[in-house]
Amino acid sequence: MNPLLSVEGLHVDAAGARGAAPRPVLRDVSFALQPGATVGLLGASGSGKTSLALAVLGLLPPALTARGRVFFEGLELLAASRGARRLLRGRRLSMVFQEPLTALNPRMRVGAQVAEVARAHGERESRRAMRDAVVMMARVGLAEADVQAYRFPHELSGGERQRVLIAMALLLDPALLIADEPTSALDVTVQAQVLALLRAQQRERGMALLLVSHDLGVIATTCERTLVLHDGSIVEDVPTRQLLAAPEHSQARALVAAVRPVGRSA
Amino acid sequence: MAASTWHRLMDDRTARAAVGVLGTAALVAVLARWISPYDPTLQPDPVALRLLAPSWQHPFGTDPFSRDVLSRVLHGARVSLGVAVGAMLLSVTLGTALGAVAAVVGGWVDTAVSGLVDVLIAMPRLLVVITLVATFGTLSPWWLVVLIGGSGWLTTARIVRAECRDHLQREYVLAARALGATHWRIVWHHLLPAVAPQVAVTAVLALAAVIPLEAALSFVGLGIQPPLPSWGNILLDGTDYLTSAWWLVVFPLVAVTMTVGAALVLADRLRVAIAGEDRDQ
Amino acid sequence: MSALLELRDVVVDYAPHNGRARAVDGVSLDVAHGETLALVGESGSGKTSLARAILRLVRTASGTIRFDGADVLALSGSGLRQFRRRAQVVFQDPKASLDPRMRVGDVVREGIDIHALAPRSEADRRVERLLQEVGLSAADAERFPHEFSGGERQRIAIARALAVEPEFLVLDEAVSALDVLVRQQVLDLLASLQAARALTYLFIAHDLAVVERIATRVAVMQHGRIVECAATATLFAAPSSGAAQALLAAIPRIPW
Repeated sequence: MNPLLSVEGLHVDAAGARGAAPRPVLRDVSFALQPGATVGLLGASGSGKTSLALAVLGLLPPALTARGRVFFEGLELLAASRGARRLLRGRRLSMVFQEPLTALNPRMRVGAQVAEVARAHGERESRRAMRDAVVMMARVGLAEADVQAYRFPHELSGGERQRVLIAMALLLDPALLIADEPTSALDVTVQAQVLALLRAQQRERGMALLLVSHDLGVIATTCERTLVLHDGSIVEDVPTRQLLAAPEHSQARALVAAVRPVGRSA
Repeated sequence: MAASTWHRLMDDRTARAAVGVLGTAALVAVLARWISPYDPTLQPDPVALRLLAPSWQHPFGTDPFSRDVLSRVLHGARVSLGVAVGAMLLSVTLGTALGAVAAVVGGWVDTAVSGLVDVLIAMPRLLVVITLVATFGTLSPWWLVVLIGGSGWLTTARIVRAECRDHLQREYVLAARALGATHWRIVWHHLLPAVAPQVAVTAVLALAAVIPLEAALSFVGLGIQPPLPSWGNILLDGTDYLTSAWWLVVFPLVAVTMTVGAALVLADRLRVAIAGEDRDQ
Repeated sequence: MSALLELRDVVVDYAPHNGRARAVDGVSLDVAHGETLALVGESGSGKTSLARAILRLVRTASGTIRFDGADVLALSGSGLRQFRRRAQVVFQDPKASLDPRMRVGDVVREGIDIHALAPRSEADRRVERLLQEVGLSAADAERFPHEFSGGERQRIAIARALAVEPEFLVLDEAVSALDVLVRQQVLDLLASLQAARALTYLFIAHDLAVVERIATRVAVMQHGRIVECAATATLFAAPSSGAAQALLAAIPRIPW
């Protein structure tokens, strides 16, 4: 089976301030993702997780430059035109961000923002776009979606906002969902609900999920395989069970130890 | 103001030009006595030397009383900018103090200050000042500073109060309160440094507002009294000769426009530099 | 063991101008000398309001708060200053809790200056020692907060609180914004400081998983009330309230 996403020798460099040498953010990162796979990307803050997610989406900020190759459904994304990448984003390849408040436009009703995704990908009928948006919002567990759709982001709770973002990401039935710390801004009880939703949607649609987190607890309950990113390099790429049982790299061991319950030794 | 805000500002060519214009105006004002070719009030020959067009002898020409216009514009800078800077300092100090006190003390003090600002801000400043001057008769430059400055603190007070209230809710101020810091210490060590950039912007804007205000008062004969020159009363002297002696009006007008324009540009660039600073932190 | 902090029927109203929202609705609680009492609950349950009321940072509508026997709500002047020296706080957001315009040395030193605990040269040395004690270096005193990572900033905030040599420390979601590894390091630091300085902690968190390793006892808060208070092991083994059960269920169940 051809992989859905295949990253080969990806380097990302940050431009140095005022003539300083560029600083490497990612060094020679390679991995592949099969259709329908659930993969966790685990790393401490500053390890380059978010840059990796953004590089795959072609959304790196101007100060960061990427080298290497990123194949998605056979298309090499780093060489693809902006237009070609835009057509993929939101349709075949979606992303959910960490902070649901800043990821939404504060002056636009949330339903309209979900519908906007369909509009951006060619839906001409605004009524139909809105109807589809409300249906999707209901499917991701927003109570009274037909009412909530007409609210503004600040009128929703953090968990509800994250559900809106997930509805946006899933609206066009993507083949891959990248979720970057989707629950770290949320309360623990809400975090559990959002993770359950992501798992359920992943299974139901057979889509692939790349879950980015600093918390092995979040990844271990959701992903079959885990990549451990440390200082810009992938230091482990193993089934999650194996990582929990026998982490090899020192960073991986530390990340596992941080979530191991009290009184349970390695 | 943080050092990096200043560096950011000085990286900006437009801002550097504005600072250059204002700096030159300030320098001219300070050095007027030494760089003026003539005594600005001297009337050497009101018959033969009146209304001479610009020449090497009189680069800005002479006025109806045979006085040298260049010397009058240079000395006018001293008076006009002196009044403007004095009034600006007074209004910004007053506004910052009242705004900070209202925010920190809160309660009825806040209600009183905010209420006063709301009432006064609805009154047109020029009309209020004109009415007061007309009531008290002509004023010395010092009283002019007090009057203009005393009527201009409202915007600063509003901005400082809002900014201080915002910062008071932040955890670093709560941490200082938890350490036992007094109101005074919180204002002095935490709030004033935090609002300083915004205060700097209102100060530059106040300058831009006050220069034309003084000029307008002097122009209608209520501000600086002749023979002491100010940009406003030089203009007044020139209005009767608008068609025959353009130099009487053009040079002081250019001086007012350039300084006010530079102040407005600087305020704008300063805002941009501060926004950059906030982004970095 | 006698209680260092005693709360009786504490009520805190939130934004009394527009409506009467009750943030804390009659809380009674004791914190013993040298223990770590965890206060957990979902956001909006009133944990932070209660902590701020204890520290006299917000008004308490009714009830009593006693610290080492003294009525905290009646304190003023030098009594209040003394209380502020003995009871300190570390806030959640390491970005917001340090004045961005002050050098780290001045941040840590502020309490020493306020309480005139040491002359100038001695204060500098104390600041250096504090920075080292929390795992930073003496040279960091010259730098600004934005040059540090979230975990390092939290260490600076801890050093600032320790500078006045308090006995009681409120840790208001002090590790919630940190990522798992850094969180563990800061928790380790807090544990060693507690042992070295005989500190009493009120540890506020929304995540029970964090609490398990550090707390002696856990109080669960919901809608402004304490719905359960038990020894940590007891609560984890047999939670009696719905709120505690929900918080426990929310801990990701790792398939070990």
